[in-house]
Amino acid sequence: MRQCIKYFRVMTVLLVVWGGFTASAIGKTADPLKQATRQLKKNRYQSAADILQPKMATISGMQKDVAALTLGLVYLKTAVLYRELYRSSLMVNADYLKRLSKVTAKNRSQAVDYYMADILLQMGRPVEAQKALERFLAAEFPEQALNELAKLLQGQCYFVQGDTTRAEKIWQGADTNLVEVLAELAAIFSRQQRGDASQMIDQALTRFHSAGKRASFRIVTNAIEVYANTGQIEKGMQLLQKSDLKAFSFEEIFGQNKSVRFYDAALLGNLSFLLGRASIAHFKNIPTQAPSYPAAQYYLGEALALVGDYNQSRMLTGMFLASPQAPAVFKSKAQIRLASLDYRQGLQVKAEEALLQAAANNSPDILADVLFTCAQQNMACNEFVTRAALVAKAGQGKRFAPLNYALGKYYLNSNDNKRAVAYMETARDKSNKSKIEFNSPLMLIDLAQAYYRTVQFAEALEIYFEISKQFPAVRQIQDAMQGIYSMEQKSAGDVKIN
Amino acid sequence: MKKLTQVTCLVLIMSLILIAPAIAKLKRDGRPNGGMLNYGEYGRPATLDPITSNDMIALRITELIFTGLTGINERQEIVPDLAERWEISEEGRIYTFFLRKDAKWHAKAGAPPKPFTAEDVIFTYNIMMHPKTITPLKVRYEFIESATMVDQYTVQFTLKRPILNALGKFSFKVIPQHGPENPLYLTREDPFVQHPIGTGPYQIKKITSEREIILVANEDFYKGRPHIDKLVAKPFADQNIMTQALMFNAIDMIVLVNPRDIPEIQGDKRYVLEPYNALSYSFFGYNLRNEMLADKQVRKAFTCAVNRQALLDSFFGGQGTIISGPFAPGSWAYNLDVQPLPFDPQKAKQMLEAAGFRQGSDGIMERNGEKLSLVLKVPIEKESEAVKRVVLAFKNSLRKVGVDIKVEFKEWLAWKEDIFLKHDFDIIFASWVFDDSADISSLFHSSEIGAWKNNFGAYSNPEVDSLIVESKLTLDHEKRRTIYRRLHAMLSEENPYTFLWTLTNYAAYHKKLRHVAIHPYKFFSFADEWFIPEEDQR
Repeated sequence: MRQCIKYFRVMTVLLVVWGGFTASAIGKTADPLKQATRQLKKNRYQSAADILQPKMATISGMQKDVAALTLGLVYLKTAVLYRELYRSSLMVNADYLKRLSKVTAKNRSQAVDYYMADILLQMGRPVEAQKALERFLAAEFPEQALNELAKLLQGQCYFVQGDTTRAEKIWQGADTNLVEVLAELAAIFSRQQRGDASQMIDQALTRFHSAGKRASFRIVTNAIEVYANTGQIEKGMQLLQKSDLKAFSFEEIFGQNKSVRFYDAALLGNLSFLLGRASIAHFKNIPTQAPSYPAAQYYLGEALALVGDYNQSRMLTGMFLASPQAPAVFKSKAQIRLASLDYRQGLQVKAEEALLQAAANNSPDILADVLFTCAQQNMACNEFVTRAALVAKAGQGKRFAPLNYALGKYYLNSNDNKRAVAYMETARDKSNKSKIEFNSPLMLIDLAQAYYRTVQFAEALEIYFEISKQFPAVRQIQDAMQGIYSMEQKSAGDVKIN
Repeated sequence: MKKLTQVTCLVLIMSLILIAPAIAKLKRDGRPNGGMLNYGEYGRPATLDPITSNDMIALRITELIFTGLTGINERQEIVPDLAERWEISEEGRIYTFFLRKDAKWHAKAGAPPKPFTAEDVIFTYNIMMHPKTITPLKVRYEFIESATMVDQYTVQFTLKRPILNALGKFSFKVIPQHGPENPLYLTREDPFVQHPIGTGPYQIKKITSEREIILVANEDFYKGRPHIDKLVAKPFADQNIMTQALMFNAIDMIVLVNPRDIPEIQGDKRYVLEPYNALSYSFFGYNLRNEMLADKQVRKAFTCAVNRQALLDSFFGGQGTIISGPFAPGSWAYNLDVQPLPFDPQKAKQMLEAAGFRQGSDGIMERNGEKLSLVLKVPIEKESEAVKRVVLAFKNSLRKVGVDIKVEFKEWLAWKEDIFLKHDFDIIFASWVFDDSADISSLFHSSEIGAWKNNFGAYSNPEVDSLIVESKLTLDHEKRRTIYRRLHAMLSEENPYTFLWTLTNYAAYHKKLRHVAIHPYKFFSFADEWFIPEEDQR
């Protein structure tokens, strides 16, 4: 009987966090937990975290584990969201900077070459980044900090191309009297697990705060990365609380009426990593005997994959699957995750067989998960797509929204943008067009991407406008997209009264 | 026998030559022709020509009837239209357009269609710029220094200076020289504005006594005859009835779905709901000729007195976004740093008091013995239930801070005369719809104060004027964007309008309509490509 009650509780927690239960079903939970769960169900992750995080120390007993699970899930979902935003930002900002760099007028931006190089390096194109940096350094930009940062970036280009000697030489000669340089170097060192990174970033932040507005927001971006890389999650989260995530990194001013703002795309990637790590910390805090442990184990597997720890993720997912307490619906999802991890490790046949087995009963939710995996791993999944399209066509209502979204995501990944829009529009709650409370935020990001690619900028901007209310860090995408839109629009200048 | 065959062939060839003009120029895309599309409009246009009209209903109709030198494709690229190609001089001042030779004007009753030539282009430009022509277009084409006909199929425009997006501006709709009765200028009294002919894919066949506009396919359309035989624009005074008409198959399409009806249509698999972002917003606009409203403290107080989010949630189901300035949030020009003024009735009262008003014994604010009592004019087309409620809520909100508002609903044309011609109003409720150039110059530049001009409230600020001029002179996109950001911030602070919200725009149509692409502003730009499968034609 005791075992039965325990199992029931686990199920309860799982259903709650999965969104299949109302907040009141938690029972006698503390108010902050209820409120946070309510916000989580509405996809207002930031609000949920703001409510729950400060109260964590006051929650005790069994609720403590449930709260840890909830907060972990909030962070995990936010981390996934930032990962997708980061991908979008790289694409949109690269497009914007490319257009800016093509300008031949006398007021051409000089800083654009530095930021272009930064983006190119993040996109894994160090050779092109080098060329942009050479242009930037040759132009002798008056801002000393940016010049020094460009040299550090050159070092990173050498480093990723295997020329560690040249990279080290540059880094050793860096002028750390400049706070921006100190912070950037700390970030570079933290990636290489070098011990002095934490100390350097703390020093940089102290100097940043005393410097006031003159110091670049880039330092905050660097600090988030350092704290995530060095496991100082609490410190990182505290910094997030204090930071204005919509801030630009640098503003280049040309006379009275022209300025160009540059942002750090890396901020979104760093946020994803930090929050992914934060979610792991919370899931790991849940003891193995706790009723919420199976759920924590399930999500821990997902969080580990998110931060790139695939082996650990595989191991935990396997353990979850072996657990008799794991509910069937989560088992199917875990099987699909395992197949995805297998595929990544080169076990294609095994992965495809697992996916076929998982999707055998044509359940729309499972088919959706399979398609998400196909999109994520760039797998050719024609058979699943055909089946999914038939199931989606026959179905109606919200239950089929994830499947339509998955089809849209698949086509977006295949660059069939019109079809991507059509499927995602079917999944969209049109009464609440761009509201994250009623639509999957991930779908809205993908839909914005599809609209962006089909040059329907206004639709994409409208989505980001709504997302920004909860996630202000999307400003970097909004600003870049506005810039592209202003260059691309070719209308006559008409206005009508209505 | 051989001779007979030769004669037969000759007769056949001659017959083909003779009947050739009567054969429709078909599109070669394999899609079927035929069928009829009834679409619901939320009013009746005052005029049907592209020069004197200034409302969205007319814009949609003119998009079907007329074409311009340049067009825009689905990827928002400028493409040839009446001009098959063009050349731009090196310094960007001289634009030479080489016109198509196969474009014809819609036939007037009993007469064969006339060919379109360069004379029509020059005629259109001259009539558009004539001082006596009533048109909002004039300001947009002031960048042109001269227009010259080089030959029958070549025109040349010389610009005063190079400008951004000049090619897009040459998409203005061309009207025929043989169209208007008055060859010099166009007024709303000219019969042409009610029964126009153009070069577009559809031509007007009839306007019924219920003001339904029946358009039929132009068999001679130079891009190939449009697929759908007939389009009928049906006006509905009540948006709720329009949705019911769609659900009961009385119409096949709604150009703008009432936000409250979206769930009902989304739940019906027979229909497609398609979003299009027309970059529009609603506002309460103030007449700054009224001394009390000339004070920005007063205007800001009005804005603070109204809980805009509550209005949007209550009357439009929250389907929109509160805005902070003169651009829609989907626009590239929207300044994301500017936040909407907060709802704060207490602060509103304080602002009115700071402007010298004191509450009288009847609760109405007064200054120098004059009561703060104002007339709000609303066009009758706006008399939907939601708009009535918004207007009433506005009146009640202002009453709470001591402002007396008298609401007058006026018939659309009479309303336009009061607002744009006589300037007889204190406050109006309306919406602007922009194409994506986000050009607000005609709304806020002081040179646009006057009869039938868009700066109806007589807003004048030298700094705003100067920024607008600078934005038009620059060839630098980023500079223009920076200027627009500043304009947004300034106009938000100056508050010539209470900027309200931008609403969700959806078109709804029956699934039998295929290959539908909607232009976010002009709507019907690609309608000649739409088709209805043979089995669904009726």
